Amino acid sequence: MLQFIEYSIIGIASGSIYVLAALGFVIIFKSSSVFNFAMGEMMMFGAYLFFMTDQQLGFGWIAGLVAAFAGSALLALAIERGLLRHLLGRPAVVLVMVTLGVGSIIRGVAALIWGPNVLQLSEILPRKPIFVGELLIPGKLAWGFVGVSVIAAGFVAYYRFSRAGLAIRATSSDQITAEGLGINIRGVFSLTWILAGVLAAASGIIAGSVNGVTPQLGLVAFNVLAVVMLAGMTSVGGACFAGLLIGWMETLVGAYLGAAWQNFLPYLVVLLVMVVKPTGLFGENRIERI
Amino acid sequence: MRDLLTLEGITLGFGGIQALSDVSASVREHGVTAVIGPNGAGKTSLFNVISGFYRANSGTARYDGRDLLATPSNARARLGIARTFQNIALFQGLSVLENVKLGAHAELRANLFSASIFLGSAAREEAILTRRIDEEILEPLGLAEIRDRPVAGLPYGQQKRIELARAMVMRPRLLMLDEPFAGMPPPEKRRMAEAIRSFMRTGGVTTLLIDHDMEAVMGLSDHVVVLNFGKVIAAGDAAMVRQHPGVIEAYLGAA
Amino acid sequence: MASASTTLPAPARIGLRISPRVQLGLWLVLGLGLVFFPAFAGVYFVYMASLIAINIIATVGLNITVGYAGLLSIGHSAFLGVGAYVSGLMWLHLGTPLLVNVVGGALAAFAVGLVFGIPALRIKGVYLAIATLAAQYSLYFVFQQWTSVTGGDRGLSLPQLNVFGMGETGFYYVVVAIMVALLVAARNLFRTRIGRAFIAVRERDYAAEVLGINVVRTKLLAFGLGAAFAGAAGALTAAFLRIVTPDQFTLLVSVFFLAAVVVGGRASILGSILGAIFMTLMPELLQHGLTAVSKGADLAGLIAPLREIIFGSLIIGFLLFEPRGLVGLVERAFGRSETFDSRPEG
Repeated sequence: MLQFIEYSIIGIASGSIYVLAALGFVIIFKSSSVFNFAMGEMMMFGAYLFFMTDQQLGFGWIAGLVAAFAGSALLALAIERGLLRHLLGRPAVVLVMVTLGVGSIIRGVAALIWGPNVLQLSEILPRKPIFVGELLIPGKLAWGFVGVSVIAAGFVAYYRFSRAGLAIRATSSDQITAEGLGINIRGVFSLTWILAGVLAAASGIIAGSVNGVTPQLGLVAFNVLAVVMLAGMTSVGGACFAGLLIGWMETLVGAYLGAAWQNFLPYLVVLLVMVVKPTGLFGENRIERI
Repeated sequence: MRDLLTLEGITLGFGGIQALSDVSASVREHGVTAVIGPNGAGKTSLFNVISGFYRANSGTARYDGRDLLATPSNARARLGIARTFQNIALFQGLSVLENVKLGAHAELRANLFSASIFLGSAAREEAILTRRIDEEILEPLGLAEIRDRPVAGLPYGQQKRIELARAMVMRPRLLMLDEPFAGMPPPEKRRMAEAIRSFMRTGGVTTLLIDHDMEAVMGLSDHVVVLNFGKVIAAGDAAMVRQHPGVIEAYLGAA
Repeated sequence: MASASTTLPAPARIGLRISPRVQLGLWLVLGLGLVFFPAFAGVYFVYMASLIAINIIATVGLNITVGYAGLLSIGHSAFLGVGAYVSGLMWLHLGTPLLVNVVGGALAAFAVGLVFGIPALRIKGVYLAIATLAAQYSLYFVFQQWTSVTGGDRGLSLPQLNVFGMGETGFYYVVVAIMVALLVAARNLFRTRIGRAFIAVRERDYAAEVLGINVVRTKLLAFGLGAAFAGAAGALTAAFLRIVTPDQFTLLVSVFFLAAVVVGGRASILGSILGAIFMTLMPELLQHGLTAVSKGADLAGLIAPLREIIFGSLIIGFLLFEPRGLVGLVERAFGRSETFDSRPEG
């Protein structure tokens, strides 16, 4: 029983890695209905930027964070302005391929610059394990959870209470009316991508701190698909909840059924969601009229 | 003369909007029935119920003696119901000829095997269909020259005629036209009306059409049903409806 | 091509303005070229040609599902896997000849394709893509875990195939023959009501319903057919490589074929051919190019990243500038500014 609780806590903590990435997916999809398959690579790139600024250039971890957030935001903006803006309104298959293509390019560039080996980030997340009674929680996971909570809380607050957040929600709800009310739709698109970029960088750095950084770091984004599907592609609150839930389930499945089942679980969740309720637990129904 | 289609008490609502309230109407066989009313009166919603896209909350529809609402939407073509759309539902990726051929989908017989081999039964039925379309449909509608052109980019009037052609290929018993004259200048309207009239003469077809332009339909219709806010406010022949105070008010009152 | 008064069926999907006599001549040259190719080409080229032919089959299948029917599928590699495993197992346990195994693989994949198509009845676009992704991983999981049947991670090992006693060359002829048959079948589909129904359902499924098209059956058939083609390709791959492992059927492979469809040209048989050739040759050319440029320096580590960069850039380049893909380029080269094919807009 104690083991179960320990696994559960570890699971929820590791699920926090998913939450930020999930928020990134959701925020972009909400406003522009684009599913950013390059999210994982944006995470990876943010982690590498942190590594480069912090260790390779020696400017320290604070500068690393700044560089990672800023660089990632710029990358996101470049993708949105340079590419997606020209492709709005094209069929889904085109948009999927484009983000997949972008992901490929980022992966290739990262591998060229930093090589394929695993790199360790400096310890901004203290390694020392935390003891809650008899339970042992790895330090990095626990502090990662704290970090995510802070960022997620900040993000949700911004989303709910700021004017920009209101603009995003309005655009996502009804683009035409929002534009009619004077909201700068294009600005909203860019903003959501920038936010997603920052979230991706944060998520990537935390993931990289726990598992090391390689060009394949982005693969974890496929697990995040399950989070987003379960939550519903348009639910901010749902993404937070689902991220923790999936992390919890994955850890338990991994502990009791093994690694193969752990890898399979996210996809199983996606299939179940598709069969039962494609819009997810909290997603909205976007209907098309004839 | 019996009624080919009878609607009784059709009610349709979504969310807070009541699109149709207790709509009853009869469509006489071989005649022309027009459904008119100001914009938003529920005319297209009524068509959509007959086509099967919307499920009525209550009410019945009897077509040729059978329960229409119980028939799945894609089976209604086989019953001889053809329809055009207000916003032109042609398939841009296909040529004019191919779009028109789709009207005959329900009567063609090609299956996976005969289609893959093509030579033989599939080629034959395609050739026969092409000839029928060329001679009986494209020529009279003036579409012969553009037969192999892609539909994308063709002028509006031509696209409307192509949609009509597609409906005609089905040799329907009930032809439903949603705003067949919309957006057309008068000479084109006359052409369209003439094409519809000559088709009606040949086919023994029953026509049900929607338009919000009273004058355009008056010359064409035997029976007119007027909708406003989802309710039937008048039904009768053209002369009677034109004088009906409720109808006049609906059109004048609709700002 | 045909004037309004003839009753010939619709012209060839290529949409190029070439006279019938010249067309016949071109086909003849192509046919002879394919037949005599192994006589004057080396082993490596015959190998590549067989690989390209297999990829063409799989790409055409995916194009039917994604290009013609508009159903977004990123799970194509699962069907290749089903075809490969089923045909491999048939060979190992039943000793059946190659063609029977290929048919078996295709049929099994068809059935799986129908199942994959079920989500398409309720969801579309990105949602469908993600569902197919999940379905594909599920199959990968089965390939990996059902060790008693599939051999797990070690996979299946198949004996050498000797067709007509001609070894590699014999295999080449079989693959090309199957490819030609399937290409003709695919093209014919789109001259009949079945193909038209795919396109109608892609563009406006409500209008298709009204025309009497059974949208459910059409969507399922689109998945099933695409899968069957991939199953055949997978069966041929198994015979070609003599080994079947789960790692041959991953997301990367699905994306490879999706790229072939998009780069070559959606809803175009010729586009599928061009796309498959291009995607198969591109890494090879890259490798040869790098070796030539490196003059002995060890650039092996560069190949994989460069491939990814070039791959991504090409996809994006085509999508931005030539949305009709390679076929669009070809048609432009032939001076057809106004072209038509059953291609989707955008």
